[in-house]
Amino acid sequence: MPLMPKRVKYRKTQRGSRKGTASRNLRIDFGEFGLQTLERAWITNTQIEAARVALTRNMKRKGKLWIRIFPDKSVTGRPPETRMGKGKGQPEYWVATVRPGNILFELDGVTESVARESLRLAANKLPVRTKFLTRHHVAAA
Amino acid sequence: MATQVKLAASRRSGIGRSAVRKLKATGAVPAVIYGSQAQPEALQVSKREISALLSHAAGENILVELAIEGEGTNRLAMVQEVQHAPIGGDILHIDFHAISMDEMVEADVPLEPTGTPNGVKNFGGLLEQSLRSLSIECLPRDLPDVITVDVSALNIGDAIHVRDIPLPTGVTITNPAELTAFSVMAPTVADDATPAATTPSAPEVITAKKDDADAAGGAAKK
Repeated sequence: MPLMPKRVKYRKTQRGSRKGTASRNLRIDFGEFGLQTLERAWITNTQIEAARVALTRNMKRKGKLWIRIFPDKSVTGRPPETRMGKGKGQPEYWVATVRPGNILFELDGVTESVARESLRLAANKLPVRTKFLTRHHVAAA
Repeated sequence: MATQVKLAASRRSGIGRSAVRKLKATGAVPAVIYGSQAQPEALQVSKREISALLSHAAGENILVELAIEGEGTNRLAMVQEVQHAPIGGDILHIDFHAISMDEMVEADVPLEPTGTPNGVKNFGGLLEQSLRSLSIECLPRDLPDVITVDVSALNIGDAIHVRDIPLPTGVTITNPAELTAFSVMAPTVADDATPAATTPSAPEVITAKKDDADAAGGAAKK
């Protein structure tokens, strides 16, 4: 199921600001291991889904996964070969805005080597540089 | 029990972003000490010393004997909060809570499981830890670094609540007794498939008027 809101107040959103570093969602809160973004980006719902599938396949459906980001911003686009003007285009896909420091995924119930490999595979599906974190690393960092 | 270490500190006069930036460039970390007996004071400590102290400590609750420059006696304090940078984890600021050895202190102590639950070892279950730290009250000398709980007897569906956790002497828990700390869940099968046919292609718009919704539906059909 593609990730997107069930209900929205408005179909189209403005682009907003992505400046600064993360001020929330920057600690491992649920699991033992996590994947942190080091860059700012819009991560699309298909990229999140591809990362999730890569994660669960490598974990062989064991353990527990938390997806800490949600694509709640719609991105509009124009059909090809259309002249400028005529208003804003139609929503095409949904994105989550991430800033450096945001935690993207969290894992628990698997060994560190499995978590590290799974999150590496998931990171390959994402448009940002990432860092593997463990709960103890965050506490001691 | 929580370790007690010595740390040198000095008073700091510069307050605010610019002063703190200059302070950090000299290899110091801003800190503050507060407590019920004295007024809060802005301090600075060596970044190198505090990093070594935090990385070698077994737990997060560290008792510190602060040797403040210009003061004859050392002040006993507990590391109340450490602020880290979101990227890289550099230490940004430290809170010291001045305490006395004969007064009760409140602290959050990490909760850790020991052993592998029976439900995980033999039935493929998943140990879920709902509570990562316990709020406790005790005298500083009784403050534990970590509270460990043996979870090896847990089967699938079993749980350990706060009231079941064995405590060191002199320690009382302030969390509600009925909170679940550990539980063993049955193995879950995550579904890889994405049933695209059953899912809507666009979310429901709350503010859409009926005419607009009809028009949007018509446009989509075209």
